[in-house]
Amino acid sequence: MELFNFSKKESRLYMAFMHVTFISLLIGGLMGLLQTLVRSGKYTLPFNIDYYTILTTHGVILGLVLTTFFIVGFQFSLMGKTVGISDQQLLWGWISFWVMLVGTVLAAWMILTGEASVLYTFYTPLRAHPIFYIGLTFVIVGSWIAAFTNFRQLYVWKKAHKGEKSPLPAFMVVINMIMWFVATLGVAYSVIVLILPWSLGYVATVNVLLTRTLFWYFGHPLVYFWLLPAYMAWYAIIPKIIGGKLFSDPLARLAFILLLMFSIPVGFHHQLTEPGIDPTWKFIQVVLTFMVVIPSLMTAFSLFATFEITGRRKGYTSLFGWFKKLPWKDVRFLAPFVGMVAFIPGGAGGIINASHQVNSLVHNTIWITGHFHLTVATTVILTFFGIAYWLIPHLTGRRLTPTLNKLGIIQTFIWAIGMTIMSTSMHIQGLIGGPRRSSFSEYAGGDQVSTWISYQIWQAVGGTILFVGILLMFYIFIQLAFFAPRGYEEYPIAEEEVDAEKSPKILENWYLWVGITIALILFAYTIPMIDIIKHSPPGSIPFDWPIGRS
Amino acid sequence: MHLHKYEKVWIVFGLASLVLFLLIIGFAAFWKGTHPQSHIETIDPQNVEAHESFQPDHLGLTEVADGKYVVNIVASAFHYDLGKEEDGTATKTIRVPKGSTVLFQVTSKDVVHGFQVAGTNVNMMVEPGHISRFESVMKNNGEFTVVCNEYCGIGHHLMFGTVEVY
Amino acid sequence: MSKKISSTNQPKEEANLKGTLIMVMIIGIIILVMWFGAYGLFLSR
Ligand code: HEM
Ligand SMILES: [Cu+2]
Ligand SMILES: [Cu+2]
Repeated sequence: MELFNFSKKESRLYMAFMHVTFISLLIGGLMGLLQTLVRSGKYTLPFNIDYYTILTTHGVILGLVLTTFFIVGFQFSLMGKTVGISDQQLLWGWISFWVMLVGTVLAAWMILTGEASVLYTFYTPLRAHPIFYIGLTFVIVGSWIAAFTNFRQLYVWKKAHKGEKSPLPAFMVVINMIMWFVATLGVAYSVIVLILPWSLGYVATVNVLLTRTLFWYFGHPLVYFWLLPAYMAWYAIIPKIIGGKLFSDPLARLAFILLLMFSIPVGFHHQLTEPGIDPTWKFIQVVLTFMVVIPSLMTAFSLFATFEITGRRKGYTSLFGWFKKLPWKDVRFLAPFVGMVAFIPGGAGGIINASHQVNSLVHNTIWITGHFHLTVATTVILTFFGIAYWLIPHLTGRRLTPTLNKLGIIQTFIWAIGMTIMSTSMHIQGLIGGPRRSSFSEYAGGDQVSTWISYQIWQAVGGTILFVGILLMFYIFIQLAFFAPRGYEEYPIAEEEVDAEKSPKILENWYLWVGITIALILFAYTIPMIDIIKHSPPGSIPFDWPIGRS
Repeated sequence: MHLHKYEKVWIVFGLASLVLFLLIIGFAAFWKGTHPQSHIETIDPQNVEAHESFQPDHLGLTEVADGKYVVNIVASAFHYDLGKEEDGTATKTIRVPKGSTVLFQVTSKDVVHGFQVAGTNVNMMVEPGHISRFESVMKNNGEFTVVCNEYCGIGHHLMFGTVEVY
Repeated sequence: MSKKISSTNQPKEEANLKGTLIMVMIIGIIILVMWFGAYGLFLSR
């Protein structure tokens, strides 16, 4: 595969996204720490700051801003590396960056002034300040600009390389961006057409269930939008870091195609306990949700197979010799590996969450928070850290020194320990009924509540350890960005075996895969959507006071 | 496309597990009727009293047959209206004997709320314009905290009640 | 990168993936145990 060298101008764009990512990590992480401290019952926020302002900041900054900036920046770099970027595309890259940044600043301004304590899900009929919704719209539109620039990049490359298959990383980026675009159409419609006019007072009422359904039409693919870049690194980068080759190019593509098809028509698994939706349609989407497990099962196999083949080729032929000899002391491998391990309980928990009536065991309990701190805040984030260790020095012309590598390893351990404590105690507290998204409360007292509180104290312990991890990661970032010694750090992209199996042409038949994706969405959503609209109750007027706006 | 024979084994095993889960929950849902809460009836959120179940004197616990109860609840920020005690004070606790079948009916007058009898399978979203209904057999003794588990505003964590199974 | 191509660079069908099979099966068991655990808890309530 031909790899492009980054120009200075290009590196600057990708770095811009990284700066926002790590500043977000610091701010969001501080909020996370404060949440766990408040919930321990031993600490109250100064200056009358409201818990839910903090929580909204945490969810928006980490769930929406950090993830989107890192992903768009990383994906741009993958495209630049494997298919190249023209000056004009670079300009569009900058436009997407600025549009997203302006949106972020607008939304953050509203959240921090207490005008938008609606949490990152902004469920109606709680009404935030209109500028909050405008800010979110900008973030989405900025990411669309990035998506269409990526499509264009691959298109231009394909025209110059007639008959060749697209480079695997570029293929994966385009899959993720198609999914993102199709999914965000739902939330964009909800925000721009339904919520914004209502928040401005041009429309008196809003259909609550419709906005929620459109949100979750977007919300599940959102989590896959986070996960797919981690999978890109696992499939296309980790093999190179451990000194091996791609396990199977066509199987990797197939996994991504399945992820595209089954990530979207499944949003009802977040709405299982909601009134107003036919349980049969809920169950149909539960079945589709289970389908999206399959590409992840394939991924697990591919990863272990890559490790095993590489190790055996190096001569470690005993049953698990290859495992012991993985490059454990290389943080570029270790951090994503710990992420993979976290995905085992994370994924298994996800299957439980999606199990139709069993959802009532965990719905909106703090178990859910424990679940996604394993999946996004460990699997995805540790993989992103693992990428940052080589991407940032590659972009800044510096080196990941042995000392920084060692600090990275310590960081990974701190994260693993802190998250094990925090997430486990969240899972248990959730199973015994403790609610999520809740400030400290003794409710009506009693044994049940005091047990919850004892787990909340453990969450504060884990949260404190995690925050130390965030400080360390931020330090490493600053070092890699500004102070590490000058040099060259490799951009690792795995090669295929010389005798690798050819990828069937059909894998790049975009019309086919996008067509099936749309067909599945129409199948899963058309009838229930018609039901929701036909049987809609009188709409809801906006409510400002419950969130402290009057 | 080539699949290693162990990968085939793994995919078949994984698929079989998923199908098994689906068969179990599908059987429970469609044959035993244990769907998650999915009630379809709508209501005017600004006038919930228009519905018989949510008139002030129908709120709270009613025994409708031997061992069968209905509990009607109006949720609003940051409070569950469980009706009144005989002395006129607001009801805070619902008491039912062990083994009784209880139908919970909840609606909201303002924003979205949650309704979970923590430690039981009673867990539902409560949305303005919709009625949430869930019937459950109270199998286990104890005091269960009712929590609002969907964010509804600054007093969200102060919205609760109690169900006592004796 | 090591290049001991000679005897080990066989076509995929013969690649020895016993360790991989055991690893993924452990994952499978974890999924089954966790799911039935949760389902049991659901039934007990
Ligand atoms: C220092 C590390 C972290 C700590 C201590 C922490 C702690 C918490 C806590 C305690 C909550 C739940 C609060 C509640 O439900 O009342 C929460 C929610 C959340 N966290 Fe974190 N977290 C951390 C890192 C992260 C990271 C890295 C991400 C994402 C990349 C993340 C994403 C979220 C999201 C999306 C929510 C949901 C907010 C909501 O329910 O509205 N967190 N976090
Ligand atoms: Cu989901
Ligand atoms: Cu609430």
